[in-house]
Amino acid sequence: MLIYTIKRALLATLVALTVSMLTFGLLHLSSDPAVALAGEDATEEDIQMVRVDYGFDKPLPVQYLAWLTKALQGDLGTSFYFNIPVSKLLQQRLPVTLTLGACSLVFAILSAVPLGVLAAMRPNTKLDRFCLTLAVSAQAMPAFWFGLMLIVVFCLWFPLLPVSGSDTWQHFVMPTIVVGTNAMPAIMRLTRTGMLDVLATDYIRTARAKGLRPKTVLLKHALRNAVIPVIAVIGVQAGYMMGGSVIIETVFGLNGLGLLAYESIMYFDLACMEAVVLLLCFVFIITTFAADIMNAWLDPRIRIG
Amino acid sequence: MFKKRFISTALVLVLSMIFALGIQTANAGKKNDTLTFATKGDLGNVDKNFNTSRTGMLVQRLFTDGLLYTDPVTMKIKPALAASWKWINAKLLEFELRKGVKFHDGSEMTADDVVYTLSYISDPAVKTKGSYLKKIDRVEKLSPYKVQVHLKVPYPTMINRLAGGVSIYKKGCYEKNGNLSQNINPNGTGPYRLTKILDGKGFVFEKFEDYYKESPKGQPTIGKIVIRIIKEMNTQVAEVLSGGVDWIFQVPSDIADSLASNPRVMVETGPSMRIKFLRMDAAGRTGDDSPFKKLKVRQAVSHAVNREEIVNQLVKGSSRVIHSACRPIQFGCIQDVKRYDYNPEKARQLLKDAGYPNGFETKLFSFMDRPILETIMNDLAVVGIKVTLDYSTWPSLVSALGKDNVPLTFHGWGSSSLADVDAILPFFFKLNAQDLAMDQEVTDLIKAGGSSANPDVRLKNYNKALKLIAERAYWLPMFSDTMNYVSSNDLEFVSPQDGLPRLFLAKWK
Repeated sequence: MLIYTIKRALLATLVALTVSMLTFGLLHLSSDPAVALAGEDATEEDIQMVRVDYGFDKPLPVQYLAWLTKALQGDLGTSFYFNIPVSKLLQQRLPVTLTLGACSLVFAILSAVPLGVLAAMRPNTKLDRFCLTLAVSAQAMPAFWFGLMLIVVFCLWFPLLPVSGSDTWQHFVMPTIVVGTNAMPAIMRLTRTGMLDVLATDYIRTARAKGLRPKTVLLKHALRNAVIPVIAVIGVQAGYMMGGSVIIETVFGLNGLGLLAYESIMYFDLACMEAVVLLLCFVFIITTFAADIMNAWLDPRIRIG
Repeated sequence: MFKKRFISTALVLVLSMIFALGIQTANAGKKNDTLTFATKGDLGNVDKNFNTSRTGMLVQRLFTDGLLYTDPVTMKIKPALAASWKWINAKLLEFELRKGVKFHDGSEMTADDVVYTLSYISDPAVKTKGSYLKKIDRVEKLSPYKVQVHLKVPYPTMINRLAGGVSIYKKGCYEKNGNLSQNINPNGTGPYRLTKILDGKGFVFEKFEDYYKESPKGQPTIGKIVIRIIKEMNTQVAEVLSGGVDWIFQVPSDIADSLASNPRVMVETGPSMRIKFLRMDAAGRTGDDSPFKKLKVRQAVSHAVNREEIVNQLVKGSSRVIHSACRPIQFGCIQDVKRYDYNPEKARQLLKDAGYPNGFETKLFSFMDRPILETIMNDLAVVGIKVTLDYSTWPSLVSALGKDNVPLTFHGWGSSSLADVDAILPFFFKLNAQDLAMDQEVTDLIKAGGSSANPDVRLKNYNKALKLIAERAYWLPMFSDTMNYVSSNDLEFVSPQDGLPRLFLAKWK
């Protein structure tokens, strides 16, 4: 288990390093940061001054190494646009995204797992078809459109919720539904498949034959085993939720990491873009790593193979 | 029994939840004497000397004043913190300051504050936005209420600049934190005090009761103003419709049209200082074989694009076709220049005469207005010019210009809301990387227009320059932009000539 963990950790570090290199390179090559920084009415002399001041005139590998050294010490630089340390900006914005992510994940699990179980209980019936249709529709629905539809219904037709902002819990209701709905189908389908497999096993037949109540068989014996692969998927979905919140945060005016990503792209705030992209990549790497380790812990075949 | 109890408990829970949600109402509106305004752009720094955004202009005009003020309707310059001003010579301005003007901390504004602020922001070592500030050589205090501003070069539009985006702050304010940042409560003399900066969400302002009575801005009437940052236009519209926001601007014409008949809101259309245009590589910077080097090709492009249709079908509102390389309301912006009517036949003939009977292929660089770009591309295709689009960002366009890669570009220019051609022409005709014409004669004329204090001399030079630009078809000026506003029915506001809302002039009906 230890060797497996070390192997995965090394791989994760390598991925993180590659991602940081790619992010840095692509962002620097996509446009001239000095032009963006100097502003629209800047003269050529202004742009050149900015280029020298910020070290953009140096070769890219030199810039990358300087940035990496600082980043490893926790210094992600200063936001060109907001004029404050990027780490402070991340601190300001992260709680909103984390709150949204956590609420959405809970919403997704609470809706997907029962639906998956229901569908598996009565396979190939109307109930099963209904659950699957719900999952497919949720997956097919663009988050942007769904968000706007919720705004129309709950803010204009029935004014029950605020349209945008992040001041109260009410502000999180619609974004949670949208992000959660987007993550729900994968969890639901996996729960259904897992349950179907488990319900067909011998020990479930034995449990039923013993005269255990169907509820006990379903929840205590079957679900416990069926959710093992679901946990791995939830880990990946958690990463998706962090990264995929850009559109939702923009639609609902939540000033989280997603909105910060959008803003930093709009203003070509290089330091901020690098930090946000890297943070989101790290979340993915960490959640995938955690899911790998958890899977290996739950299923010894993985760590041996 | 259990089932019944369960249902009634669930019902109570649902009802109480709806009630809890229902009582959550927005604080915007006349009832709370709070004007909530939504804008797309966030602000890195509330000091306009360190930002170039529209939000920056909105915020600055609320909590600060300058020495002078531009009336948003007449675009005339009026005295503000300065009671009067005069040019001593082409490089020296003198200001008599108003007495009894209070900063938000209660202290009085004097010559020391003016000298301090202008000296700081004109210091070449201070990285302010706007190179015009660096044209100030030094600022001298003559008495507690009289200052002189010495310029390095003759610069007549310094008056317009000082009436636009240059605020006066309290002496010493920059030393506290290096520069004004979001972390401090800035001390201005404006009609509203900036009381709260909501990181990433917006700004809160409260009426300044001690605002000086003689101000050309008038006296503030609304108690509280909140500026909210909402990136998504559809969300902004939903906020106005639901009463969460009272006023939005920069609303696309199609959305404004669809809201026009909605009784919940009021839609108003006004002008904007921004114009949009096509620029062609007349200098042959993309190569000696660039088709745009030929005057007839540039004229063909000018005849090929149906600007009337673009204005009437896409931009709408107060937008108008323009013929010279500036916004007609700007000083020096004549429209009496060579005009190019929509005539695809003539365009084809011109292309044929230029040696391109079958047209040619080229690239159009831009970063805005996709539907308009597609219309332009279609119009050009009709006469045989096949255009591929390179759609990216402003910095990418500037980079491409620097690398001599741009044969044709479409974009706009807002002139920092300044009603003078000096805010547009010198930027694009300076024989530098931005300049696709590289015409020494035009550049010299613009330079001559920009360095004389005599309005007649200025007009004469600008007129000549604009006529040459049109005759030589360096640009195809397309249209002046429109500004659409959507607001609550309770609100009364002034529609400014430059398209920049003056929140302090808003009133409840």
